[in-house]
Amino acid sequence: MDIFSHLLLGAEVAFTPINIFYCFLGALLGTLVGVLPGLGPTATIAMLLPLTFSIEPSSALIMLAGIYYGAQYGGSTTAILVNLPGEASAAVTAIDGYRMAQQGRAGPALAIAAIGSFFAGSIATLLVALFGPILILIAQQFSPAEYFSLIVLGLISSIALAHGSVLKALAMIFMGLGFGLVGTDLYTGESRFNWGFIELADGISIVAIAVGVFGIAEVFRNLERKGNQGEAKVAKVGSLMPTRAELRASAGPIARGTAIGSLLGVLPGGGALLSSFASYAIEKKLARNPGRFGNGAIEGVAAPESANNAGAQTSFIPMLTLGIPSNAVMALMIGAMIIQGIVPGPKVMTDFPELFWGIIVSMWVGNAMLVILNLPLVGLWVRLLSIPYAILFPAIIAFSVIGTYTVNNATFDLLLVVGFALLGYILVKLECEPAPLLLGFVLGPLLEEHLRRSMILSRGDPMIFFERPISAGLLAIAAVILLVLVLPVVRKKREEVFVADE
Amino acid sequence: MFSDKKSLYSGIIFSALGAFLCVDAWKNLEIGTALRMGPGYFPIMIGGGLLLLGVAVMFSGQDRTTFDLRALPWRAIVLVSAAILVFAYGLRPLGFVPATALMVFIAAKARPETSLQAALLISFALTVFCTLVFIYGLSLPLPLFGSVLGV
Repeated sequence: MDIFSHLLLGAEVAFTPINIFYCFLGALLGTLVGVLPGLGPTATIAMLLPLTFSIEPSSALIMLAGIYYGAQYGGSTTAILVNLPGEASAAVTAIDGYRMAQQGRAGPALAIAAIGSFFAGSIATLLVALFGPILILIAQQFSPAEYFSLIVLGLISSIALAHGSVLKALAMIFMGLGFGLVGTDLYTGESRFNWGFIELADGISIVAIAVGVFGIAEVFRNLERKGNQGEAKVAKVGSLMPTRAELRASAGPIARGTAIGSLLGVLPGGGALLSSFASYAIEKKLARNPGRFGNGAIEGVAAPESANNAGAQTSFIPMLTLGIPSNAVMALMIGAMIIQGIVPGPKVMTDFPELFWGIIVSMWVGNAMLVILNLPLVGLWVRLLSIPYAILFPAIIAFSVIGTYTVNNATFDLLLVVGFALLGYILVKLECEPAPLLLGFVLGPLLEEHLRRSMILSRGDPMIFFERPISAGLLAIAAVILLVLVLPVVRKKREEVFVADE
Repeated sequence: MFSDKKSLYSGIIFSALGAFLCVDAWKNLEIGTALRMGPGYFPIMIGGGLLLLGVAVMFSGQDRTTFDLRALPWRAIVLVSAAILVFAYGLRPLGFVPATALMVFIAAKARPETSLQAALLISFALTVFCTLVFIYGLSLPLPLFGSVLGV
């Protein structure tokens, strides 16, 4: 089958009324949480993960995917209009976007952001369709040793995403791996670390961890602030049409942003956040007059917005093809597959082609919907900013809790939610980021399985990981990343980059 | 060195959990050899790694930071946790509607500025909404009112 018949199959799935509905719902919810500060895509997907249990697998993943890339659109709207990035990856957009809005050019900024996102989204969707199958072909040649090394690489790279101390991020990965141990040993059937709780026989529920660490812990954080936040000042939108000069100035940044985003999205540890920061930095370097950046340069909106959307899209490649998530959202997508009884990995494309290609085509559909949702309805979204947190957070709690309960009808899972919310909150207060913990948790069982298989193959000789060239190469990259991250120069740069994210 | 309290405390959490994993695996699980790894082999590796990393984090502190347990938003933490537990243990005896209403009400009061009337209103509105979404929309097989209420 060639790519056209693949995409045709995907279109058949994506264009069924029910899936168009779920795609729309995802895009809508994504825009909503992108606009609302205090509620990001990770928390939202964690919250809705349990609900996907009762719908079709392809519809579920189409909707969850829509939330992720939809949030990239929504985040830029508030970044431009109120200087309030609803989404971390839109933080750089706020720098020049809000300046443009103050200068009365909010309309063109929003339009360029939408055009750039749509262009990037379309290209990235094609890239997923083109490179997904190739990567799967390569992955099918992988022995357990290569998988082991690939997972190590994925885990190490996730540190790049976390702020602050590399050591703490590494420890968070190990803690996640530790939680992943709970349950039944695959080889002997012996139960591990369940302390007599029969509910833990199948391991800790990913929904409970995600809802606790990302959903409820986030509520604690938001409730730290006393009193009402002041009314946000919303800039006037005015005419949406960019001038010809603005369009011309944006073309290059959009193209480069798309390229950078697509590339960084595929890398483990990458995704929307890293892409937008990197592309902004590159545009500033390339500009003839870098002084314009920070003062309303349209390139500073076009590049990061294209990049974060491209990155959001291509980060699906390792998740869909290898079953290895590159960021916390993708880890939750893996969780959604597992809930549905689908084993993530290279077999997904051959075993569930409708699911695989349906998701890919739906991304393009969703991107088109988002342009329509965002540009004409921009006023509506901005009005949403006035939804008081007093109403929002009880709703978040109710949805997360009821949803978590319904996955297994387990009271026990709700106790876990409370426990993980407390743990996650304390760790965040101690400046330990939760994303590596979730990746460690999801990848832990895979890591162990491939380690044990490799050791059986090599008769107990750990050199197997270094003697096989691909495996050795992957481990070498992981080592280089780790070294680079602890170098003082890079550490400083990283801190600077993340300052904008606070 | 230990004036960076955030590194010190997080390091303690990491190493305590690591030590616990090691001890529990050592006592209860068969370790095996590199060739034939038992169920305890990988846990010992992870636990040991976590223990060492935790110690490293403890000593990695650079800046002086503080961490004050009393400064945490205890009202929110206690009330939100209580709300979840009330739902968890109230769902079967009370039924979906009362359990949800109680949970939302307690949670809403986690924010001190929310008045009693506002919390009741939020509770009512969200209970209606959740009932529509979960019971009628997603047709979850949960009783609306439990046997305790005699309905």
